[in-house]
Amino acid sequence: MRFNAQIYGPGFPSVGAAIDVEATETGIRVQTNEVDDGTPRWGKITLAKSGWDGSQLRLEWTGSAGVYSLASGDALNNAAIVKLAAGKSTVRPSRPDRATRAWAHALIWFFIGVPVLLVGAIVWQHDRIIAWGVGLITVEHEAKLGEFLFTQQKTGLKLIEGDALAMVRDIGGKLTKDSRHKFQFFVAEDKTVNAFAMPGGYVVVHTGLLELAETPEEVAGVLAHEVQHIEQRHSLRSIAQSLSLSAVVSVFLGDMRGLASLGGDLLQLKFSRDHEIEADREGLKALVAAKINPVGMRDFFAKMAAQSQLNPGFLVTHPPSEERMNDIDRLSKALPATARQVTPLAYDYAAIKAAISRQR
Amino acid sequence: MQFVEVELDPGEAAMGEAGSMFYMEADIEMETIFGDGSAQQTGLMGKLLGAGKRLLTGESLFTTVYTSKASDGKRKVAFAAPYPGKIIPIDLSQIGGTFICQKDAFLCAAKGVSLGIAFQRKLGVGFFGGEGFIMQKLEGDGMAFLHAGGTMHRRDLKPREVLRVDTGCLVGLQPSVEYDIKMVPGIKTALFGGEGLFFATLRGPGFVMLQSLPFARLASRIFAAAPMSKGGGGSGGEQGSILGGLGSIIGGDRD
Ligand SMILES: [Zn+2]
Repeated sequence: MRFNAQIYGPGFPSVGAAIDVEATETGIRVQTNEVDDGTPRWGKITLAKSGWDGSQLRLEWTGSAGVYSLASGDALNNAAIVKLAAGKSTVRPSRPDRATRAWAHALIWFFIGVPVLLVGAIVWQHDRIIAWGVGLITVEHEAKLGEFLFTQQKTGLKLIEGDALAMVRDIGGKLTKDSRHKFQFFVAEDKTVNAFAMPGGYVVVHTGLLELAETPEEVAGVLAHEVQHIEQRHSLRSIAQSLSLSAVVSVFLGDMRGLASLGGDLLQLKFSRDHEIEADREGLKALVAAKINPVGMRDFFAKMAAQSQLNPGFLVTHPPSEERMNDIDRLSKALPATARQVTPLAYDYAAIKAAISRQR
Repeated sequence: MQFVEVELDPGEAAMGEAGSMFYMEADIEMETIFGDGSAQQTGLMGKLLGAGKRLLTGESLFTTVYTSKASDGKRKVAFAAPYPGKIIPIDLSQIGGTFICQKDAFLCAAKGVSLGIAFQRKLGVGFFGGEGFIMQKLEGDGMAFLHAGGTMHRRDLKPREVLRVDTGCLVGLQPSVEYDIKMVPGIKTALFGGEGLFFATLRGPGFVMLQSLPFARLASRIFAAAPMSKGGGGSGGEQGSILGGLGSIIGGDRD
């Protein structure tokens, strides 16, 4: 076969010269000044992959005048040359020394592997990581965080006092008697039917919710549910979750908007279905323990679900589900008869509701 | 500082990176073409491929072709480098028709020189070569002009001759030159060496072009020195103190 190559060596320009090469079974033949140097046998030639991108084939041999080198860039020719020389020429592997390679691989795996692992872990074991992180937060820290968040949110709330607040605080107190948190209950003037819990023990009930409820027991049901969101640290977890997600997004997009916007969305934090069911179940237990008729919770949530078109507020932040409704229903019915033998909460609820609508 | 002035006979053309044109005489028509402007790019697919390659090298998608429409003699068009440095001509017909250069080193060329890309295939080199992951491939038989920071230095490597250079200092090389990235040996260097942890090993035969002051190095020194507006104290090297002084003059703060 014949091929074109760039030749370097004695008698050739330092930038090489284009040359026609003949390759046979025995070796190659090129035109050189020292005639004998131009016909090396394959056994004298060293082959190596070369060039900046490894696309060149280098044929190197030593003649009487010095070292000659051929560079061929045509892939098809190179394959044919390698075939001819197979088993006869020395093939020099072009690769970095071992130490460099080991380092390079270690660093590549470090730079690629660590972020991939981190993201993978965050995505795959998200819940566990959040739970672990949340577990590290002490009650004192949570109280401080809650205070900070609540102070921020408070500016947007129109908190009111009066009999309604007194009742909410009273019922709340019964539900949180043995809590490690220092609970604080508030009533906010807002006609949307909603209530929310913030880390550290802050529970806020909208007047809209109080107006929809028909008995103090229904209000107690909602409060019991909200209190459990805090007791079970759902609020903390939701915050950690959206924080960690926006942190990941921020790191990857190099953009802090995700983190910055979080503050405004705190009230819109959604709880997962599991969290809702847990809050329901634990809330029911707390109601029974506080000797409050637990049926109020079921009644109120059923009413909420029926009115979901009209009052989406609470349902947005506390997603309802059929499973959840069935669950409450089943648990309420399964309660021992003693659990229902409770004294009704003695508040003049009609007067409280009247006072709320007067205040508006 | 230098610039390149190209004399065009009637009908002759040159091409340059969009944005590197310095001046041009009357009767020269500028045409911005999609792709890399090489002659063999016919058909939409070829153009798209050329454009795609340019997108990968980070260059603009368009090359500008300057064609003389004069009928009565030569016309001139000039190209200038975007930062201080040196410009050198490369006659592709004298070096075997192909040259591989850093992607931002290309300034201008006669039409018929095609601009392609050359990909680094070794993962380690690609990862640590920084600038040198994707290079530009100049092919054809015309003149091409490269520019580089500081002084341009040419080395003709003999067969088996080895030269080690900072990866950023390599401007271009003949395709016959073997290229590899090596790490500066020793764990101490690895941990405390900071910049210059890797260097390129070039093995002959073939010629290589080197630059004494890569733009990235200049930029990083300027950047490092710029915020120090309170005089040159504690800035380390002499560039630091000079630029520190400059910074404080600009800041109007000389206490
Ligand atoms: Zn809930």
